[in-house]
Amino acid sequence: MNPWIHIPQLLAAGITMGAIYALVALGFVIIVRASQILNFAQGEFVMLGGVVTFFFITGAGLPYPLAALAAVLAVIVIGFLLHLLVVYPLRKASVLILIMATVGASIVISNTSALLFGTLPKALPPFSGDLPLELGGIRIVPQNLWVLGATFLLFFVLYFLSHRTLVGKAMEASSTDPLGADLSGIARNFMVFLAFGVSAGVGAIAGVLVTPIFYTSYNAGTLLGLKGFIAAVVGGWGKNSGAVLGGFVLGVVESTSIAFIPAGYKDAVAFVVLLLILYFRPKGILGSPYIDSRRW
Amino acid sequence: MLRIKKLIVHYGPFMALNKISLEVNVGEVVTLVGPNKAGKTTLLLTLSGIVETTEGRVLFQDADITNLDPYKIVARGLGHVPQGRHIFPTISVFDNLMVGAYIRRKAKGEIEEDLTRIYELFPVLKKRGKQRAGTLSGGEQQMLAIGRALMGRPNLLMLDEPSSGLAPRYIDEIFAAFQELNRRGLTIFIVEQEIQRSLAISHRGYVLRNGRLIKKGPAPALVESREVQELCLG
Repeated sequence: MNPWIHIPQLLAAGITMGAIYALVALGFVIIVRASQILNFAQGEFVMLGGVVTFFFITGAGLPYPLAALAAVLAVIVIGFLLHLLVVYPLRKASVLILIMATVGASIVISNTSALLFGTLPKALPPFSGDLPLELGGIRIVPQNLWVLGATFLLFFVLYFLSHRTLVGKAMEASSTDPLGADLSGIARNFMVFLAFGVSAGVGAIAGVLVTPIFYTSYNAGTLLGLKGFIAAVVGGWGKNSGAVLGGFVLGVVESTSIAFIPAGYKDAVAFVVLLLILYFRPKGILGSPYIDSRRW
Repeated sequence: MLRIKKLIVHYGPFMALNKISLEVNVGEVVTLVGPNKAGKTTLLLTLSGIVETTEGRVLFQDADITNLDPYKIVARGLGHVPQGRHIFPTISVFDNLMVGAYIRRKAKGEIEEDLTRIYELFPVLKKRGKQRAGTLSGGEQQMLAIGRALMGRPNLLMLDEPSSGLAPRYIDEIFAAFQELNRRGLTIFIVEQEIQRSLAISHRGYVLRNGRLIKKGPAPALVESREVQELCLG
C-alpha cells in the first residue's frame, strides 16, 4: 500500500500533537528566560491539568469550565510551591543540582497524583463535541482546533508578556545576566517564582486541552515533558517562537513517521530528531548566539 | 553617607578583605586604587550584597545594609556599575535603561526626566536606543551600564574599573560625565587601576593591597606618591 496516501491525515494529527509539544516547550522557555533552570517537572504540570480537572468534575461535581479553571489555578499554586519548596532553598546550588531537583520533584508529583487520584487513565469530554469536520478529505475533530487556537493565543499572550512588559524584560535580564539584574534592583528570586507560576499555568492549560484527545494518567507527564524539552531545543533554546516552531516540527515529523515505520517507534523518532539537531545545529532552528553563549 | 566598619570577607578559607574601614561623604568623589587581586571588586560586590560579609558592618545613609539582598540595597540608593559592564545583550538599549529603573517603575514622570538627563550625558544611547545592547561597542556599553545604574536614581554611584578596556576618547567622555554628575550632587566611589585619571577628579583616595587598606589621603597627595604609582603600575 502506498504510505503517502496517509500523509495528509497524519499531518493534521501531527500539527495537533505539535501544538501540545509547543505548549510544554513554552513552559520550559518561560522558566529558562527567568533563570537558568531546566524544569523537568514541566510535563507533570500538563498531567496535573488533566487529572485535577477530572477530579474536580467527578469528585467535586463542578461544571466542566469551572473545573478546568479551578484546575489551572490549582496547578499554578503547585508551580509556586515547586519554586518555594524545591528551587528557592537550592538557589545557591549549581544549575545542575537544581535540574536534578526538578527531576526529583517530577517523580514526587507523579507518584502523589497516583496516590491521590488513582492510576487509571482519565478522559475528559471534548469541548465542543466529537463529530469530525471534513476539510479537503482530512478528518479533524473540533478539539484539535481548540488545541491549535489556544496554542497560538497563549503564544501571543506570552510574547506580549515577555517582550512588551517591563516584568518580562526584567525576567529576561535575570537570566541573561544575573549580576547585572541584581545590580539593577531586580528581585531575581521573585522573577523565578513568577515564572514557575506562569509556566505551571501554561502546562495545565495544555493538559486540559489534550486530555479529551489522548487521555491522561499519573505517568503521562514524563514523556510529554521530554518531548517538550526536545521541541524547545529543536526550535531554538530560550525563545518563545523557537518553542512553538520546534513543537510543530517535532509533532509533524513524529506523526508522519508512522506512515513509514511501525507506530511503536514513534517516540524514538523524537529523540532521533534531537540527536540530529544537536549534531548539525546545536543552537536550534531559530537559536540565538546570545542565548547559546550566555546561558550554557 | 557610606561607612564601612572593619569589614572582613572570606572566599572559603581565603581572606579576601581584612578589616576594611572607609568612608565616603556626601558630595565627594572617592577613588579606591590598588593592583590586580587586591580585593577592590570584592569590596564593591560586598557593599552591593552580592558577596556575603564574614564580619563587620556597612552603613549607608545611617542604615545598616550589611548582607541585605542586592535589590534592597539598590532600592536604598546605592548604585553599582560592575566591572565588565554586565549589560543585557539580548534586549534593546532603551529596554536596558528601563530595566535599570525597575525598582521605581511606578514613577513614570521621574523616569522620563532621568531618561532625558541620561541622553544629554550620553547622546549615543538615544541614537542607538532601538539597537540590541550586545551590538554596541565597548565604550558605548560602558555608557549604557552607567546610564542603567543612573536610572535607579542612586545617591551614591559605585563604579568598578570604568575605564577598563576602553579607547581613550571614551575614557575622556565617561570621566567628564562623572565630573558633571558630581557637580549635580551625585556622590561617587570609583575603583580604578587607571589612577591618574580617577584621582584627578577625586577629592580623596584609598589604596588597597592584598585585602588591606594600606594608605589613604587627599587625592592630590596620592597622585604624587611614588609608592602608589609603583603599586598600581607594577
